[in-house]
Amino acid sequence: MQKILSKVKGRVDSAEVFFVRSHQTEIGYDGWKLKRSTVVQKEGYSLRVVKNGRIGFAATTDPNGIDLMVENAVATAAFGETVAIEFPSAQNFATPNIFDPKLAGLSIEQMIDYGKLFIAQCERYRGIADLSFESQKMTIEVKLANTSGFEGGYEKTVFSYGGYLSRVKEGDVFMVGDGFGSTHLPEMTEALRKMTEPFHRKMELADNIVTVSSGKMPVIFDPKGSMVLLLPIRAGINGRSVYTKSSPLVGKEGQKLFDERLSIYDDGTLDRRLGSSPFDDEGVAKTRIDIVKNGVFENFIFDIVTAAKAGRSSNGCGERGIFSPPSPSLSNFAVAAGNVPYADMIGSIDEGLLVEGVLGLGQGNIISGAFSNPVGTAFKIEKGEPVGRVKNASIAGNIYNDMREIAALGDTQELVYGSYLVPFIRLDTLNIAS
Amino acid sequence: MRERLKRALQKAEGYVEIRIQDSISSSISFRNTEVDKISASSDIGGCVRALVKGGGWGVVNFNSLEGLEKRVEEAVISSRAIVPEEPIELAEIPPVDLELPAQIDDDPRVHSLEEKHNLVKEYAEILRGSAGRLIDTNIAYGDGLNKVWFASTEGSYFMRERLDVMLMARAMSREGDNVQSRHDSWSSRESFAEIVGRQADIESVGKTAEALLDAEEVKAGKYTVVLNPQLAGVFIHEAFGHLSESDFIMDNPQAREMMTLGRRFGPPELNVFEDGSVMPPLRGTIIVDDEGVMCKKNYLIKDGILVGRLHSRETAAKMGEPVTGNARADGYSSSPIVRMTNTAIGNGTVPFEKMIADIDLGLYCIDAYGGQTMMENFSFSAGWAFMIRGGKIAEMVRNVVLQGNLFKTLMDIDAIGNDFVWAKGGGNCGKGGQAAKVSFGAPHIRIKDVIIGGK
Repeated sequence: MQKILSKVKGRVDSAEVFFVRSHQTEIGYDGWKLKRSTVVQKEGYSLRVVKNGRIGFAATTDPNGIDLMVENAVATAAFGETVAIEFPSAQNFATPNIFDPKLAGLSIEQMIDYGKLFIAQCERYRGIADLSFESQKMTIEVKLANTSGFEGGYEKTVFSYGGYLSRVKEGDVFMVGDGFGSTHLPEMTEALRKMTEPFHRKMELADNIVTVSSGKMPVIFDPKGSMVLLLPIRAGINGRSVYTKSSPLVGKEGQKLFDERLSIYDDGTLDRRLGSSPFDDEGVAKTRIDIVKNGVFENFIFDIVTAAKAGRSSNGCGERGIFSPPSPSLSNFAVAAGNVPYADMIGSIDEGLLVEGVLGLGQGNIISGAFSNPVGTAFKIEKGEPVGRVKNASIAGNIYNDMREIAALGDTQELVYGSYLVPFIRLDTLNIAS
Repeated sequence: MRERLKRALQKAEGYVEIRIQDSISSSISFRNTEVDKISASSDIGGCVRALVKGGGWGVVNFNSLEGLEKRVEEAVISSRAIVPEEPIELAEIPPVDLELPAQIDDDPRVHSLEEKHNLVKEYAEILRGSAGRLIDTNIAYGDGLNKVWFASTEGSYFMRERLDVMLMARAMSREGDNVQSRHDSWSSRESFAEIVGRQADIESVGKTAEALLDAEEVKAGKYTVVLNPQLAGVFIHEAFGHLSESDFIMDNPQAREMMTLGRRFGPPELNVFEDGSVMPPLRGTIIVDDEGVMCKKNYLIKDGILVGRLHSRETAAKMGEPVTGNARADGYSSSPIVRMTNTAIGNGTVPFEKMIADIDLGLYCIDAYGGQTMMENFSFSAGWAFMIRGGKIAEMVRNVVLQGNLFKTLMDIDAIGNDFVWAKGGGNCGKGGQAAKVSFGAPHIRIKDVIIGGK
C-alpha cells in the first residue's frame, strides 16, 4: 500500500489506496438437485488522488496494471470533481465481531449438507413444487492507506443462504422462500427448521385464492414486505440530496414527520451483522446513526465527498467497490421494535391484508415517498387470521402521509435480506385496488 | 493466448472450458454542471468451468492468470464433489474457431480524455439549463473495450472483442412534494460519433421531466393502451422473454406445461424472436455465446404460437431441443446462464395513426421507467404517457403503471405497428446477480383492457 502511495508522492496533493481481496465459495441447488459449486477469488486496487483540488480515480485487478492505475488516477484528476476533502488520519477503532474462524474453515461438503437439510424439511413438496437452495461463504480482507497517515485493515467473514419453493399450477405461480445472512455460522439444523416452518401454512393458504374488497383497510407488512415502505426512506436519506435538493427530507432535520413510535437507525457497529466493520471504506469510524427518532427526522448519511459538498462531516457511510469511488451507503438498516405482539396486531383485524412482498419494488418515483404496487405474495386477513392468498390486488400510498400514523409496530425485530432489522408494521390508511 | 489456454487444458479430465477476459474502461459523469466521477480502469480475470463424467459443474473464478493449470485442477475437483442424481449432459455442438475483433468506425480511445470531458460538460450544461424546475440532473458517459478468449477440451476456440460507447441523461424535477424524473440513453458498438451531436435529445430529457410536473396523475382503471416501440420491447423482454429461458422451465414440469410448444400465446399477427447475431452489432449482439455456440435468429412465437425457447447446451440436451446460443456470462467472475440477447416483436402492418384512430379513451405509453415480473404477472412503469381521446393524442399524464397477466395481455394485443425499430439505448438485464447487455426491438403495439394502477 505504501509502495503505491509513494508512486504518486510529489505528483498529487493527497492520495488514498484501497485494496480488497475476497474468496467466496458457493453451492447451489436447482430443481431439488445440487447443480453448482463455485469458487470466486477476487482482488484489486483502487487509487483516489487529489490534485489542485480536483479528484482523480482509477482501479485495476491486473497485478501488472499498478503503474497504469497510477497514471490514470493522475490523468483523470485534471478533469475531476473540485471539492475540498481531507482523508482521515490514523485512529483507533473498536472492531465489531465480524470474523468467524469456524466459517473460514467450512468445507464445500458441509455446505452441500445444508442443502440436503433444507430439502429434508421440504420433502413433502417434491413433485408439487420446484425447489432451489444456495449458500455462500466468503472471507474478505480490506486494506486502506492514505497520505494523511491512515493505515488500517480488517478481515471479515460472510455467510448466507436462501431456499425457495415455487409451485406452478394451472398457470398460477406461487413462491415461498426465505434467506439469511450473517458474519457468523448459525446452528444450521435449527436455523433451517425455523426458516421452513412458516412455509407449510403459506403453501396451504396459497391453494385458497381469495379476493379482497377495494378501498381502505388495515395492511400488515411482514418484515420482508416492509421494503415497500422503507425504500423511499433509504433513497431519501442519501446525503447527496442535501445539495441536489432531490429528497422531500431536505431541510426537515429535526422535524416530526412520522408517528412518534417510529425510530429508524443504521448501525455499522453491530456484532455478526453483514454491514458491520470498524471503519467505512474511507477510514471513517462506523457508528450508530439515528435516522428517525420518535418520529423526528434526524440525519442524512454521508461519505467524505458528499459531506464536503453538503458542508457536513462524514458519518462513516462511505462504501465502494474496486471499480467505483465511495458513495453514501447504509450498513445495517433497522426499524426499532414497537410494543405490539403479532397476535394482537392481526387479532383485531376484521378484513385486511398481510403483505410479504410486492411486484415492482423500487420502481416509479420512490424518492417522493409514493408507491403503487401490485402485491406479490399477500394473504387476506379475516377475523384475525390469514385465510387465503390474494392475487390481482395492488396497494398504493405515500409513506410521508401514511406513516404519520402507524396503527401498530411489532414488538420484535426480524432479520431480513441479511442486513435489515425490521418488525411487523401495520398501517390502516392505505388504498387497496382489487 | 490460444496456445496458453490449450496448454492449460492438456491434462484436463472431462469437459473443461477456460474463459479469459481483459477489459479497459473509462467513465465520466456530471451531476448538474459539475464533474461527479471520472475514472479509468483495467480489469483482467478468468473463469474455468469443469464437468467431469457423472459430476456437477465445478467453477473457479479468479483475477490472477498465473497458474491456469492449477485453476483447471481445482475446477475438476469441485466438479467431482458434486454427484447429481441425473447426469448433466451437454448438447453436441460443432467446435468453433473464430477471431472476432471489434469493428470500430470511430474509436473512443483516439479521443482524448479532455475532449470527452468537454463534450459531457456541454451536455451537462444543456440539460441543467433545459428547464426551470429541475432539481437534479445527471449525464454519464462510458466506453469500454472488452476482449474474451475461450477454449474448451472439445477443441473450440474463439476470441471475441466488443466496443461499447454509452451516454445517459437523467433529469429530476420537483414542485412541492411532486417529484418527477426522466432518463434516456444512447449506445453504440462501433462509434464514438454516435453519442456526439445529442444536444437536442439531451434538452428534451430535461423538458419532459419538467412537463411531467404539470401532468395530471392518471386515473386507475382499464384502458386500451398503445405502447411505443421502446416500451413494447421492454415489455416483451421482461414479461415474456424471461419465461422463455429454459433454465427456468427445465426442472419444473408445471412451468414446462405452461410453456408448451404449440400453445397459442397471441393473435396470428404476433411474432417474437431473439437474435444474438444481428449486424451491425446491437448491444445484445454476441455472434457466439459463452459456451462456443453460434447465435442465430430464433423464433419464440410465430404467428401467435409458441415455437421455441432459449437454451444453454445443458438445457438443450435436457429438453431434447436444438441449441440457440443463449448462454452468457457477464464477466470472468460469472458462469454462463441462459440469457436473452436482442429480443424483438416482429414488424406488423398497422400504421400508428390508424392504431389510435378508433380509441375513444386510451393511453399512449412511452418508454419504460422500470418493470418487474413475477412469473406470469408483471408490473411496468411507463416513462411518460399521454391520454388518447377521440382517436387523438391528448394531454400528458404521469405515474402510469401497467399491470397484468402475461398470457391474457399477449392475447389482448389487437394491433401491431409497421414501424419496427431496435432500441438505441443502453439496456442491461439483471438475472442471478449478472448484468447482461441486451437490446430490444418492436413496432408500436396496441393492447386492450390493460389495468393501470394509480389514484
